[in-house]
Amino acid sequence: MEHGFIDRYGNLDSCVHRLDARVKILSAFSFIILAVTTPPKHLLAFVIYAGLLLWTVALSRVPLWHIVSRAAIVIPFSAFVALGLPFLEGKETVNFSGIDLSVPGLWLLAGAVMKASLGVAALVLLVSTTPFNRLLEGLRQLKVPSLFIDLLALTYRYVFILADQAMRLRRAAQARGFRPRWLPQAAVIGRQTGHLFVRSYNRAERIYGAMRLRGYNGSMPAGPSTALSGKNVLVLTLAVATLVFVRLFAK
Amino acid sequence: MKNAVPIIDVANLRFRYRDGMEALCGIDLTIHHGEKVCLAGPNGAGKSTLFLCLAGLLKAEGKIEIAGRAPDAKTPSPIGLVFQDADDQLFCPTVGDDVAFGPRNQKLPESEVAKRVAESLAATGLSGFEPRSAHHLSGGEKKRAAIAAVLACRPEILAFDEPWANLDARACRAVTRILKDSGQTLLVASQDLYHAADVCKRLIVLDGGKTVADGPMQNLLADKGLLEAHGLDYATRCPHCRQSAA
Repeated sequence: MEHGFIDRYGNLDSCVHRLDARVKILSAFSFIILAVTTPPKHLLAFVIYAGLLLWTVALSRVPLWHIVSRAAIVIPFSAFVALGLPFLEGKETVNFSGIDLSVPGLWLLAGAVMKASLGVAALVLLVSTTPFNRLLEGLRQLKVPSLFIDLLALTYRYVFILADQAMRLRRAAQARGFRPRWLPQAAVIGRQTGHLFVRSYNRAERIYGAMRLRGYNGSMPAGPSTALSGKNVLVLTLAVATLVFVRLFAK
Repeated sequence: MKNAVPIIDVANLRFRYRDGMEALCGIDLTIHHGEKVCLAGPNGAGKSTLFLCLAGLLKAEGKIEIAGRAPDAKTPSPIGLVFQDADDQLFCPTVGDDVAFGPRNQKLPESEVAKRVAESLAATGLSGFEPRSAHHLSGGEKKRAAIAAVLACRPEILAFDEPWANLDARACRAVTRILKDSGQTLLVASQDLYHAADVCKRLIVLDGGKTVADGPMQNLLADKGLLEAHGLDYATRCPHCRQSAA
């Protein structure tokens, strides 16, 4: 079954893909923190953030539509959460079709949408330029708690198998004429979900057994750690310095 | 020459699942170093349960001694168990990580881990598969990767649960080759007697949680009544490729 793997473009060859995962993780998180803390009225800063992101996308050879389409998913959510802001009371208002809208509220709404879109786009770019295993290895070397990384790794490994099982159950029901339309038919879906849960529980037990037989003692063994090369350190320094400069001086 | 002390010594082994079903009803089993043994039987005969008990993953009543000691959860098992569903065994992000999982848990130096990964992948015909993710492997490749992951632990005994199930002819031949080449004591639980006969010299038939026959493979295969009575079938042609047994 075909799945939309999040690291679909992770194995392309480009200067961005060749960078150490730690450099990309730290750069992406610096980008997010600095973008989120930029006041919404600093439009020039947001334009430069977007420009830097587009430049990195071009260097990475990941199709722009892939980044944009995934980043766009977050816009309705962030807009929905911030939708009440223009209706806050404020001294400064603008009249739009007979409704008074708060100007600071509108700025906050625009800021929320811009920050959320840029942040998600940076994360999509991060996972599109780094195979998932290297991303996990990078997080491990950055001393992220191993329990969190193990959970991520096992979730990513088994979520597609679970999706396949769910799809097979649904098809089996469809093959016997099940077309859910009415509320009472939800009971069948409930039973299928329970069935999926029991199967997943049994699979988890088998996986744990396989891990124990190969010496698992509570944490996944880590591979050798490597030091960052001079080139990677330089790229990271330049990236963070540029972002800090933009955050402080672009208004 | 076989050692006098068996590598697997099981007597009056009983196991009952929590739902009350008795899966093993007094199994007696003695296997010597270097033997290649097939455990055959119908569905629900107790083959997989027996493997899980031998590996120490299920606690059963009765005597189990593997390489001279009882299986215990705290010490590494001398049995390398290859599960029927390879997805249960490939839980790491890449094939290389999966094969290295056992050696790293044995706290081996990284150079030795790399050597074992390379050797195990070469033995299963998967050299160069280290960075691949298990998501993107075929069924046969997954099975071979699961075998490589177990081989890298260098177990004294290899136990395979239905190694030829759901594989195409080419993958079946590859798995058979790996099993024939393995130097360890080998236990194979399978209903595929065509392929098992190519690998194992001894056949043990289980049914209803009991041993119903134990003897040389060719002698028992000739006993059509025995096979039929216990839901088994032996074809002299491969069910996949229709080639006759060598």
